[in-house]
Amino acid sequence: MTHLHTISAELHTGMLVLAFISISLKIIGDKLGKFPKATQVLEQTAYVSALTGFLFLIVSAITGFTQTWPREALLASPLVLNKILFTEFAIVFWTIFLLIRWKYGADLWKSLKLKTLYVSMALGGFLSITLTGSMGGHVAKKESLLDLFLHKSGINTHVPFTLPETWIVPILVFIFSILIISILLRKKYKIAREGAIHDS
Amino acid sequence: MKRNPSTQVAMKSLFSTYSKRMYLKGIAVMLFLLSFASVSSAFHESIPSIIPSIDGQIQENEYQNHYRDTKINMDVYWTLYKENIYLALRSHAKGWMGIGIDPTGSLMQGADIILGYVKDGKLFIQDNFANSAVNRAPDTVLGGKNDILESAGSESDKGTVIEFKRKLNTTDSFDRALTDNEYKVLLAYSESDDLTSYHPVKSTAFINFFSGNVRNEDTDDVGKEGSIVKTQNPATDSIPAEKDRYQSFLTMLTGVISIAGITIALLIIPERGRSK
Repeated sequence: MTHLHTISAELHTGMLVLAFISISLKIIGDKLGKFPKATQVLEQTAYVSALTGFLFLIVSAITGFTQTWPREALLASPLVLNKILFTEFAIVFWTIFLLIRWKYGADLWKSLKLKTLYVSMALGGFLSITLTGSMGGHVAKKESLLDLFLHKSGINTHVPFTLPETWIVPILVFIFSILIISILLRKKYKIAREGAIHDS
Repeated sequence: MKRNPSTQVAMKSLFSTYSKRMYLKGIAVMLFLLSFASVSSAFHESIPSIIPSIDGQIQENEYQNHYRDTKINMDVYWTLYKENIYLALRSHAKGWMGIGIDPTGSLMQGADIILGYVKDGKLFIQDNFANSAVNRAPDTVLGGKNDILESAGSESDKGTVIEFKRKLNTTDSFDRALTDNEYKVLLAYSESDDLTSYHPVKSTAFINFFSGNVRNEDTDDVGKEGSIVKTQNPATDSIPAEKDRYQSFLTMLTGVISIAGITIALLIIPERGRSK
């Protein structure tokens, strides 16, 4: 069963990296205004590979938790805790990525907001799986190709990445404030639009 | 949320013949790149397993944990994998050596003992139990069973190596079920292969096999250079306290709520010029 974790880890990484590369190439193609057919294919490729990668990411997360080390050993490792943390982030990023694409289709590229959100999710998901991959390298091989970069950036993946409790509440308050403001803005916009229709 | 007409048209056309063809092309490109990636990855070294090989040789970084008892110059290596513990012992002598886990009485009484020696290239190993302060007997003699699942050993001018694998919890009443706790561990070896010979070379340490933390009885120092040597083990670099785990969970929750919250807020906020 450990092999299942190894295979699913390799597959989700490959697929999700492919999705990110496809999106990046699609953006470059769009900017250049060339190769419209190729960019369309890349866009579809990103969707399909992200979907496949996402499924393997779930399998990888489950097998990683149940089939590798004893649970006590897993939870005793700050590195593994960090790996779980970033796997969760990756799952959230790629879930939103897929939901946006599923809901709006290729039409999302016509909206700057959706396009920005879609690409941001791909970027967030890519960075998350890159970090988890590096941590996986430390778990399996005690080293990672990213080590030089991480050490120079002062990032130590062997220390638990935790937010101080004093930060958590302000962050959550900020997020909920943004949500409330966005709801109010939407209402205001709706009233203004109805007024405009009524006037006309 | 209402979709605007252009979105609806786009959604419908998603399943048009042209779109299907594009999907097929997308899948074809993906498969091509995937096969290319598979071929290229075959040239790379595959991820080594965290399972040590029981072959009588201890390779560098083969085990996740390493404790060197400098008092008697004996090494203990171990890796936990699934329900098993892989353990290796190395001494600089050519006689028997052993490890006794968690004595409950005086001296070695009640300890779960595994000891062995290598003679003519062949390993002789026993699963024992200390039925008195100074005596021990094979589990099989006492009514238990031999729980050594795999074993191998080697002897050279540099000393002796014994590797073995057993379950963390063998369910044998003459074995200690290993959990995330610190155990008193007895280490000893001899220059003789005679298992009844007295072992003047002995030491005691306190080991948590799960966390990898070791406390030396004499120095009471953890991680003192020269006394305790630990390989770079992600599972044991620094053990997070319960509070850290809780904090990690809170961080995860905050992160997830933040990502989802910002996304939802952005989706709710109307886009300028979209009504046109």
